Formats: sequence, structure tokens, C-alpha cells
Amino acid sequence: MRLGARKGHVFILKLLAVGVLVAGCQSVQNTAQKIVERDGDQAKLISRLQPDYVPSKLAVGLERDLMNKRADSYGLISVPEMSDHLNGIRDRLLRASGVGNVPGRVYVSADPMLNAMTTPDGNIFVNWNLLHYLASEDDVAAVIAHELAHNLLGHADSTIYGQYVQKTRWLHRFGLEIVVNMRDSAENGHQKGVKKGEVSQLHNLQLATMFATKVVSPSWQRTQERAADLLGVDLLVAAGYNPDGMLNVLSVLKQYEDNNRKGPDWNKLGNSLLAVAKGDNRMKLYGGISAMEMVWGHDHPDAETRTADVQAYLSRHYDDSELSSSYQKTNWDKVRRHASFRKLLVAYEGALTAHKLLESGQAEAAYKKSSATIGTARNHAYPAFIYAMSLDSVGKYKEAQVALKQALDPAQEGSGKVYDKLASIMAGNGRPKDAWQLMNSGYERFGKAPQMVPGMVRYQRMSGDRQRAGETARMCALNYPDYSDYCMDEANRT
Amino acid sequence: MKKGVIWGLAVAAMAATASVTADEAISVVGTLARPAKLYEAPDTASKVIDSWPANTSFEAAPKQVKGVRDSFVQVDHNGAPVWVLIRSIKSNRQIRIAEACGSMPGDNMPRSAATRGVGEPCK
Repeated sequence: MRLGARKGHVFILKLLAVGVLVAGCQSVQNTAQKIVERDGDQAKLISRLQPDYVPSKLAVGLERDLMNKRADSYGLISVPEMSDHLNGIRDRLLRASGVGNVPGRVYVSADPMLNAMTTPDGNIFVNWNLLHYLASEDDVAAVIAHELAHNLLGHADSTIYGQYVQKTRWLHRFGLEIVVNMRDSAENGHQKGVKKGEVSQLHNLQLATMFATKVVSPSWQRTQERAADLLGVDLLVAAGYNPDGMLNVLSVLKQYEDNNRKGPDWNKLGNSLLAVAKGDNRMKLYGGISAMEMVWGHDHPDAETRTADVQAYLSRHYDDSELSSSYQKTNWDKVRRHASFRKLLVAYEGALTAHKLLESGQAEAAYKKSSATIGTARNHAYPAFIYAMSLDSVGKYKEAQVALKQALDPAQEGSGKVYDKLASIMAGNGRPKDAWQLMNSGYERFGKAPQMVPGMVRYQRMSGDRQRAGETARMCALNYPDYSDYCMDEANRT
Repeated sequence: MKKGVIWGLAVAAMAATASVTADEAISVVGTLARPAKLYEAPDTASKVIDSWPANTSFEAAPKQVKGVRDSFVQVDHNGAPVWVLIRSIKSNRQIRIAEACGSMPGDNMPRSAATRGVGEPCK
């Protein structure tokens, strides 16, 4: 009976392992092919493109992609004139690429950070604050060309390997827990708990995961960023844009990096290195990986290196005479100064300023700024939320409630960050159950967006329902590999 | 909603974020692996007056830019104004950006690993 039970346990683990391997091997093979990509030293990267686009295996569909973005951000800013212009640029670049059937559109995200991003569905999100620093259509085209290049080169799929490793790790751990529970009840008091060899297996898997996600993945991404810059340059040239747009964007990013540069956390680095020096072999590995993450864990090369790479690429593959040296400004100036877009930007800028004023204790000034600038953005989550807080801070409670309702109105443009913020305020006021409910409603509203789950786990735990927090965290670990560590950390926190 | 309930807690966690003013100053600090052509006018079809050798460093005395016209910057060369393509030189561009990463909850959460951004996210 006991032997049979053990055989059963081994079978379950083997089944899990085989299942994961079968699911993962094809993806790993594809990823390996993409890692060894030429970097443009010999030929222009545009010459590598195939006429038919290969959709990403990680695409989730338009609606879900947009919901994920809303859950992960301050929301989306929709102004038809701006949207048409940005998508017109994308179309021009795509035509020049020669690749057909590429899905996706360009959207303006309400996030203030100077960044833009693309998803496996091919959608491109440009943060409104970055648009401020783009002086010409060529600069805007450079941002879109970089993101489009990621799509055309199939970069998103290389993430499958990291997700596969994460999932394997958690499947192994949960499988082991089932085995241990079954064994404990079968052996009736003989040897309970996890055996030494099983602990070792778990630690080895954790090390493999850490190495894959903290060191190897950022390193792959740095290679991909360089390729996206260089193919982006090809697309700009092929579409008749000035490729210096890419250099201009990188100059903005360099300044941004310089302003926000944070050196390594020396205490943390010191502790990691101490573990390397003093610890046992496994601790040495943990410390080593942690130190490597701090030093090499960035997923982008620094902007100065990228600038040098772009200049070298231009010099290697193009002659000055075949490149545009003027900028297209007229249409871009018209679009970015369009009244509807300006009004929304004024509202978002006002909200950010009011945000800062609230932080520094200037309630009256925050209220004045927020009420003077919100204008047509009352139905936009972030400005409405800041407006609500400003009203609350000057004692206008009824109006604050109305504004808060607008900030959370499911019929309007939503933001997951507003849910996150409000939930943290509720929990801080001793209402973690309300915070949990709020995060849960956000999770539903944003189409079960994984970004909301760590917060749900946090407030379930703070409400005293550790069992539910554990269940949610397990669901998260198996379904949303990118967020699994966050969910499990939230569940296990004391 | 009680007085200060939102506000009091929000203060601790909220952060400054953006400004929108941009300004730029440029100086030339060197050349790349190829010589940089010096043009008579801000046009690649114009006469090439001279060139700077490859891998020249002006770090000790960066050349001040007197003017900018599209992709060209104007500098003094042997006492005369010339135009050089900004893509053919190493430059030091100072752009005024008063923006900092925010600290709304979730700002430090990883984005989905499958996304690709043009810059590094806030850490």
C-alpha cells in the first residue's frame, strides 16, 4: 500500500514535468532561434523581414489587451485627431517594411513616465508625456518604428521561455505539496513533511528561475532593444523619414535616465556579495545571482550606448546623400496643438501638479489647480480621482464623493492604478475587506487583468483570510507567470 | 467620506511627476569612426569645405554650437562657420526634462514581460 502510494506520487510529479516540457519545448526552440539573431553588422535588418507577419503566441486579443493596459496604467487618452495621425505614421512605416497583415494600432496612454511600449498583439502605447518631447513627425515616427520593430522581429515570443520556467517551478512546488500531504496521511506519523532531497530540488528550481528571469531575460532584452533601434532606423529611412528622429528620441531618454538614475543599492549588493563570500554553495549562488541582477538586470542598454550603435549603423549602411536631413513638423504641430488634445493634456498636467501639491501638504493650492484644469476630463479616472482627493482635502465631501464615483465609473475610461491607490487608502484606514472588494471589482472590470491580482491577495491576507489569499496566489502563480512571485510574496507576508 | 480620510493617507504615498518644459543645448565633443564632413551650408548637396578626422576628441574643449538647422549644427572651424550633420559627430545634448518616476501603487510592479518599451520602466 505504501509502495503503491509512493509510485503514485512519483507518477504525479512525472506527469507534471512531462506536461510542462511538451508545452514548453517548441517555444524554447523558437526562442533560441531568435536569440541568435544577426545584429545588423553585415546587412540591414530590414532585409531579414518576411512578407507575411507571424502572429505572437502570446497575443490575447484586442479587447483583453486594452483592458490589461488600463489595469496597468493611468488609462488611455482617446482623441480621434491624434489617434488618426499616429496610426497614419504606423501605416506608412508598415508599408515601407513590406510586411503584410500586421495587427495592432497606436494608442496614447495617460501615464506620465517618458516611455512607450508594445504588446504581443501589436498594439503600441505611447505615454502622453513622451509626446511633449517629440518635436517633429520624424521623432514620433522613431518611437513608433522602434515599437513596430519589436513586433516585426517577434521579440515578445522570447518571453515564453521565462514564463515556462516560472510555471514549471510553481507546478513543481504545488505538485510536491500534494505529494507530501498524501504521504503524510498515508504514512500515519512515520516521516512527515518535505524530505531533504525534495527541498534541494525546490531550491534548484528556484535558482534556475531566478537566473532565467533576473539575469538571462534582461540580457536577451538588451539585444532585442538594439535590434529594434536598428530596424527602426531602416523603417524610418524606407518610409522617407529623417532617421535622426531616433537619435533625438534617444537624447530625450538619455536625459531622462540621467535625471532618474539610481545607482545599485549598495547595502543590498554588499549583503549579496557577503553571501557569496561566506555562504554555503547554494547561498553563494543566490548571492551571486542577486548581485548580477543589480549590476546587469536592466532590460535596456543605456541610451548613450544605443545612440552610438545607431550612429555606427547609419554610417555603415547609409550614405548621407540618401538620408533626409530635414524634419516634418507642420502636421505634427497641428495635431498636438489640437484643442481637444490640449484640453485633455491640461487636465492631466493639472492632475499631476495637484498630485504634487497634495503630497507637499498644500491642500488649497491642489484644489485650485485641480478644479481649474479638470475641464472635460471629469470622466477620466486619474484626473477625477485627484480632483476627488483635492475636494476631500478642503472639506468638500459631497463633491468629492461625486468625483470619486466618476473616477470609478465602469462606463468611463478606467485606470487600474486608481483602484490600487484607493484600495491602499482604504486598507490604511482599517478597511482591508473593502479594499479587497474594490480590487476584486477592478479585476472583473478590467477583464480579469493579472495586474490586479497581487493587490487582491494583499487585502485578502490583511483581512485575515489567509486561506483565500493562498488560493488566489496559487491561481495567480499558475495562470499569470509574470506576476507569480508578487502574488506568492503577498500571500506569504506576515 | 470623513475630512482628510483620503487626503491624510494619500500624502504619504503620492509622488511628484511631470513638467512639460523642454529646452536643449548642444556641444560637439568628437567624431565617430568615420571622418565628419564640414559643409558650407546646412545641405548635403552643398560644398564640403573640410572634414574632421575620424575618432577625434574635442572633450577637452567641446565645440560650441552656434546654430541648429534640421539635422545640421553650425560650429566654428578655423575661424569660419561650417555645418556638420549631427548624426556624424559625438555630441553632448542637454535637454531640460523635469520628470520623475511616480510612486502610485503598482508603479514598481513589473509590466508583463512580453511587452517591449522604448525606455526602461521606473524601478
